[in-house]
Amino acid sequence: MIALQLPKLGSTMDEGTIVTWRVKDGDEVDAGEVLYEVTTDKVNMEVEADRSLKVVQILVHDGQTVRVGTDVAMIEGNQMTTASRSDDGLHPVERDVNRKVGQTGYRASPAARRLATMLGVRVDHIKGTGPRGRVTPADVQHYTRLQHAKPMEQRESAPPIDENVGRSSQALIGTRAVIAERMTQSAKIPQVTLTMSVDMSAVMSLRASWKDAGIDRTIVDLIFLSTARMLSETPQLNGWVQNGRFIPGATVDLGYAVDVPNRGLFVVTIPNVDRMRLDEIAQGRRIRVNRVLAGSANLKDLGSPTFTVSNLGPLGVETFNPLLMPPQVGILGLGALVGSHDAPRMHLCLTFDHRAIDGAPAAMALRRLRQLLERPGLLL
Amino acid sequence: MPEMTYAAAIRSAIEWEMEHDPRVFIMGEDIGVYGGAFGITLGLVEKFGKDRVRDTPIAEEGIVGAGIGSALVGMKPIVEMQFSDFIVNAMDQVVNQAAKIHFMFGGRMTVPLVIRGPAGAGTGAAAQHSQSLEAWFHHIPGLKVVMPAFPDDARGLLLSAIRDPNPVIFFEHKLLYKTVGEVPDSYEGIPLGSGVIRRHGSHATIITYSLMVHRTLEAAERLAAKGWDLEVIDLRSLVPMDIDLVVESVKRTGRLVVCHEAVGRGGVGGEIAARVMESEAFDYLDAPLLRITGLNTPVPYSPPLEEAFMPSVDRIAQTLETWLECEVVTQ
Amino acid sequence: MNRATEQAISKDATLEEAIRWFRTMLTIRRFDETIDELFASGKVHGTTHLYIGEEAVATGIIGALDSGDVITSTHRGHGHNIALGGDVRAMMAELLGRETGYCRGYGGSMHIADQSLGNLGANGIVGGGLPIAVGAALGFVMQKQPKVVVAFSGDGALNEGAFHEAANLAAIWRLPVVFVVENNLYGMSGSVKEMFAIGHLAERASGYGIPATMVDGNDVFSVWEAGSQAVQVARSGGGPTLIEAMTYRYKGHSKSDANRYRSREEIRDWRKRDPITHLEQHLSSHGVDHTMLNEIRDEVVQVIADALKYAEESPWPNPEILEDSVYTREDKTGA
Repeated sequence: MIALQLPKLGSTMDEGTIVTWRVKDGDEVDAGEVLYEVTTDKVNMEVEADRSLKVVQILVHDGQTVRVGTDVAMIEGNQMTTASRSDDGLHPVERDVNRKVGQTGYRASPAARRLATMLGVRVDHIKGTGPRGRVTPADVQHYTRLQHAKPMEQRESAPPIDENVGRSSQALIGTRAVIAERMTQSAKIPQVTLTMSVDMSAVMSLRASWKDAGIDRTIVDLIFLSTARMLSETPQLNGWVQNGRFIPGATVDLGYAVDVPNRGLFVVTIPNVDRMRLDEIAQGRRIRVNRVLAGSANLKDLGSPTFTVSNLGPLGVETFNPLLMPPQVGILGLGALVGSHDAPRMHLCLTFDHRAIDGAPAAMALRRLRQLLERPGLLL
Repeated sequence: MPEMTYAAAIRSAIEWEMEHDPRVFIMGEDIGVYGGAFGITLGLVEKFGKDRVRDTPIAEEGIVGAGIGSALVGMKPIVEMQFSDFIVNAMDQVVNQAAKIHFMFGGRMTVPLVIRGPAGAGTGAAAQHSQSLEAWFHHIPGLKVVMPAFPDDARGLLLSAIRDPNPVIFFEHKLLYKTVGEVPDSYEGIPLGSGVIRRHGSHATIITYSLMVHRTLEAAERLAAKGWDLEVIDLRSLVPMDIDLVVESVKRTGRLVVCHEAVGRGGVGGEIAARVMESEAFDYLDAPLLRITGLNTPVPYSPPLEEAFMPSVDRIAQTLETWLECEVVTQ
Repeated sequence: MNRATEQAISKDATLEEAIRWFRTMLTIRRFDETIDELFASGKVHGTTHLYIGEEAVATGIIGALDSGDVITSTHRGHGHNIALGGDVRAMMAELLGRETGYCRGYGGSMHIADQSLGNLGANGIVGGGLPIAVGAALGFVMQKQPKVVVAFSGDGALNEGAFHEAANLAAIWRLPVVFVVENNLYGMSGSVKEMFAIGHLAERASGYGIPATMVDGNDVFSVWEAGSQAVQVARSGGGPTLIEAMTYRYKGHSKSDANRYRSREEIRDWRKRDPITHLEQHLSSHGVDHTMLNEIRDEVVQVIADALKYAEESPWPNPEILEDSVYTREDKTGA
């Protein structure tokens, strides 16, 4: 009987989380069969046996995080060599499980696979309702929503706890991993945040009149309308930087960052805001935010915005430095309403990609936005 | 903005360049007093004389080669193919000479040559006068290939083609010559390699060019009445190709359709599809590709046969609708 | 040069010119012999077409041109470029596929050409350069420049459609083109006797209304005289001429040629009429010292040896810029 150790599956891998064992104690497996799935700092991988072996006892269970070289199971096998730790009878299969060749015969569109990976679910666990039984992005959304309705322990992958090193840590998996990746990417971009305080009295009185009339509009909707106006006047803030090129957005598609409890940050996209009336904006934003909160958003709701608005005001944050959402060139942060009832103010925090636009034009844009909010009549 | 036909727009580009650049001249079969088989050069010989509006013998290889030679000593020739099918007679000069001279001589020479001519079916001209051969030239490194769909593009792109230091194949569609459109007074030229989104939509992206832009737009309008929201991209030039525009659009819609009149087999549509598959847009695809193209036959003569050969508005709309119903799940 | 070299030795040609031609012809021969050795020893890849035996044609014709005149060359084009005064170092570097070659290693044997000296291109396609020559002549006429274009071709090219279209265009537009047909009796293996139903290729010209003449292509003086006359006609607006220069290639068509289609006797007989030996005898009979001729020979050997050394020491081209070289440099859009 020999110990099977967690192999080093990449040059930067120090530890790994066993996502799930595919075998149980006492199982005899053939060469090529998957023993367990492990998630590392970069990707999910399957670890296969390269010859027949028998699993005597699993030592590290699903969800546990251990260091490379830790014994994960005791096995019996022929000619097993322990000479090299990275070559102990194991062939790591470094791939996204959602790209796995159709061993199980399921169909899933590339878009569905991408979304599944983004949301941290396995596409082959999802029943397809699309053409010829294809798993569609909507199926992935539906499945994810059901997953989140389940109690924690029944979910596909529970948050793994690293017991081995005696400290509590949580591997970044699924959505968290996507956010981590994007924010790391963002941090590499030379970005600057400008902050401006806005007199919100005009906006507040507008809101009061909406309330009186029983019309369902919010301050954020009006900020959206103003932002779209500002962006259509400042095209260099509306678009993406890709491969060293600025690609201006053909329309203003505004992203709105929404925190979904237990699942993390989602950005919904409201397309064509520059062509919308205030009521359309209000409706479009509400529908999409609700879908995301309910876990029923489709891929289009998530979309590819040309500019993002992040609102931390409701949490009492007054000013902050929003990080760019690559490849977008700009993001606007909204702070909380401050000041007296008679003189309410709000901080607008505009972060811009300094590769694409300089400080002065960005400041002009922010000033224009302030002007539109202080004198909303200009929007007419 | 003044309105003019596609044919007049082409003529105005030639005329403008000949007026402003003494190196520019045009030669071809029956382009002098006759005015060209499709009347593109009408009036030019009276204005510029027989030297610069040069009637040639029926000798495509000779005149394309002569174009190349004159370009090598500092001229900027425009060579008209009476029908673009006849360029096949000049293939050595186009493919082995013009396309390669800059490269194979290590960048020491350039060939600022435009070969232009009418392409496409729909006129009852049958198999040897109706082809769309753009895929052949699109395949050859060293050539640029331009196929405008509207009068303003015809002028703007031809101006850029004449000013380009590389050999450019400029295919005009016979059925578009009489199309009228607004053409700006500007003679700035439109850069080669920039596509245009002719219609914004969210259910699928249709990539097309030349005559098929018009037919695809009409089909998209018909389908809009049935609730389908289609994006239509006019590539305008195939080499260089605005692949970024295509990729970004497919990322938004998740579905790709290509439509061209040329036969499907080995066509430009296959290349567009391949480039999308290779790009980041792959991960956004939610349906198999659809190609709507000419049939894999020579262009036939009889009207019902010819109609069947090339994608019609009806065929495009029906094919799209069937595909959309099959491939798109709407809640 | 002493006073003796100024004397005319053949109509208008001076002894000084003849000595210059001797050096040119030797350079062509030594260059192509070196290439032959490099191929034989496996130091060069691909294929090449050697001009050995035909040196008097390029030398005599190009000797008749003025600075500013241009030529189009052929697949057997090393001699034309050397006769124009091309840099044998850049030529050798190109054959060895180096960055310092005429085409930066992009072209190879069949595309060596010095445009600054008026070479509009060697050409891998038989007859491919003929319409281009006509176009260059058209360009000069339109620019009102009194320049002449020489279109070199082999005998085989006269059966290509391109020749017929080019000849007709040159004739109807009376363009300053001199078609020089290097008739070495074989288009690859196809003998002129089998591939043409006419006795002399020059007869083809009359069908286009082009005057033609035949010359001994191994006699540089005859070639030069015929060339000078045709060039003068062309430059004075008299239109094109066709010159059929009878010559012979000692080596095979290309590197894959086993010479199965011609006899040893035929090759031997032609070697007896070697153009360089012929010129050397002529110079000797006009009092040129053998020591001087041998000095020239030694110099040429050294120049070619230096060229080879230069080429071998030159860097290989960088594949990273390959795709950026398809369109003009300021334009990277097409790839």
